[in-house]
Amino acid sequence: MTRVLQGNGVSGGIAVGHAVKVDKGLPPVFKFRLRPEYVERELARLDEALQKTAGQLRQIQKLLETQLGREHSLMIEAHVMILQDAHFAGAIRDIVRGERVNSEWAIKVTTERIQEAYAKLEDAYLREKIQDVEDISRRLLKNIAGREQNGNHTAYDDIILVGDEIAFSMFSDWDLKHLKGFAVDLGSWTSHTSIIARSLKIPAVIQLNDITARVHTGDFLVVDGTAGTVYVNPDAATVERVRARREPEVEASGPYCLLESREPAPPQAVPDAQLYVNSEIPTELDGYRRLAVRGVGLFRSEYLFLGRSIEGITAGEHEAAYRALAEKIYPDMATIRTFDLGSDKMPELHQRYPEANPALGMRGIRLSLHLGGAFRRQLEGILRANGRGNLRVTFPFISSVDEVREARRILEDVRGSLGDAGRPLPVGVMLEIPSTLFIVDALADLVDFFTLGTNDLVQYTLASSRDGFYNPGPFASAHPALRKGLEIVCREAAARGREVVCCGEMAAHPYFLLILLGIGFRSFSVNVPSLAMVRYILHQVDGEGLRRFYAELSGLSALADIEDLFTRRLGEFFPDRFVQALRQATPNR
Amino acid sequence: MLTKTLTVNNLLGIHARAAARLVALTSRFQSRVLLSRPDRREAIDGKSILGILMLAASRGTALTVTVDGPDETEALAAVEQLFVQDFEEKGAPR
Repeated sequence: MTRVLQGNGVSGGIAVGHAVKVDKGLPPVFKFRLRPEYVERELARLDEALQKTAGQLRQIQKLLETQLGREHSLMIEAHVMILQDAHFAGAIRDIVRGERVNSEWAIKVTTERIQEAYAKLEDAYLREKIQDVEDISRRLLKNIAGREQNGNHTAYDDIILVGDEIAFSMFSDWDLKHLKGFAVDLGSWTSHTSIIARSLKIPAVIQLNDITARVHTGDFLVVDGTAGTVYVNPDAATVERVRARREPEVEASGPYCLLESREPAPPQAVPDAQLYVNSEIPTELDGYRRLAVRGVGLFRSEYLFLGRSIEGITAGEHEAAYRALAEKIYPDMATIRTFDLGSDKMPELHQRYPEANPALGMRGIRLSLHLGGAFRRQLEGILRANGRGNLRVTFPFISSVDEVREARRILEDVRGSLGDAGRPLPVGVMLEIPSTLFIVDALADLVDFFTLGTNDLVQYTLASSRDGFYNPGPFASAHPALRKGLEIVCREAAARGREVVCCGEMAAHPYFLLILLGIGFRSFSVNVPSLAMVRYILHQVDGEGLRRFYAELSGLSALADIEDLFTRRLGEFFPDRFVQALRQATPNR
Repeated sequence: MLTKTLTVNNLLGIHARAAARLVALTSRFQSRVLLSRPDRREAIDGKSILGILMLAASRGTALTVTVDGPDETEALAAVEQLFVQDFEEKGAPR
């Protein structure tokens, strides 16, 4: 059931993603009396936490300065000043020393005193500033307790932050590129939430009163920052309706727009490269012809049916959705990925298979084979929608030949039952589990093509989940193990004449696209916003330079050396005016 | 010891960023800097951002600035300069 919450939009646009709730207020704190001989030690503990907090704030400041400019980084400067203020750090020290109590208690008392003083002010803007103090106190308390602040630990890469209000200092906890929208209880046009949202150009709705009580982390949200509306767990029709209102795709801006406007397109430096687009909802592809791509490289079918019971989706519904897609892009080809659902994406499944992300159990093809009926209905829908023969299917989360055999057997069985309506369909598998890299030769005998899912592959190869507390760093995708595995894939698939379409984020990142090109991959599928950048690189990259670069890269095994190589060589690789744009596209941190 | 009354002329008053600029400035000097509003008895420490924010000095507020120390002349001149420059505010709506 879709629930609709109305607030006020302060930053326009439509955001679709998963709710992640952020805490406000201070954690509960206990009071301890210290024996006199422990006071100095307690003060040392406090100072250490104060220093750590200041260090973190400086880090955020650097980040904000690059992302939002100097004006906003000054806000963090103010936070550092508050932290070191005689009325804050000074007062906390005085309480620890004078009353011989633990730092946590002193922080709580000091924060409350400041809150009281601010509450008396008539100026609404200054009353809002109390959030800063609370925010600093919360961070300080976490540091005193030794809890980690940093490290983007979330299961989602499409985060809608939900809270009373979003504070500046919360930002270090998230990768900015994963933040899609804000929905908050309070706020005003001038509050942090609004300032940040407008600066980052992401949709935000404020003054929702009680969204924090109505939404849980993991709920699927659509935030309409223009209308000030938030849809909680909307059905597919609602998502599509709201998304359809999204303003037409913004023309590529910055350096890449030059390329878009050139007619006819200049010859590609990588002449045999094929560019596809990834999609989730057919209406996204209304301007499909303008994209000038070869087809839809990956259609993530589960997004159409989010919020639905998986058992309740009929073959007819599947058929209608895929037929709309097939018609829209005919005669180009669309690759439909069957449901890649795990318990982290569907509350219904979570009850049956309570697994947290990365959900390495009942997921993807495993779930489809396990459920049986739901899988057959999806395959039937795909087969029936393929009247013009421009659909193909790929299976997610394949780890062994056995699963492919079984999936193919079911596909053939369903096809047989359809009589004339069931024409043969090219079949592929996702390469996203490390085991598949080493059996590409065997898999190639069973499939017509491959789709490479680098997002999961990077996580699983390096044993680092997105919600883990360990972050392998921005150059994880350049790990030599991954590169060597992908070399096998490229070589074995080519030897057997199987196309490999690179669908993950690696293809949409200027650095890692160079690696994929260097390995020898030639088919790339990216989301609409990344098309211009990828097209630019395909036109710009110089084949000889790439070969030399890749040879140099192949000689390196440490990530630090690889990062250094990219930083040094980027300038030689691309004309000056583009280097800046590429640098901005690199992961921050 | 030097004393001068300065008027807050920028649109936003002494908000967080302006206060941060003021603290960054006063902290560079050895002299003690005190600020007070005509309607409050207690002066606040011009090197404390929490104190300055508590002044709630909106546009038009006249603040008495008292500077005392070895570099008081330079300190007062610098503070006055910041007031005159509207705390480097760029006239953005808040």
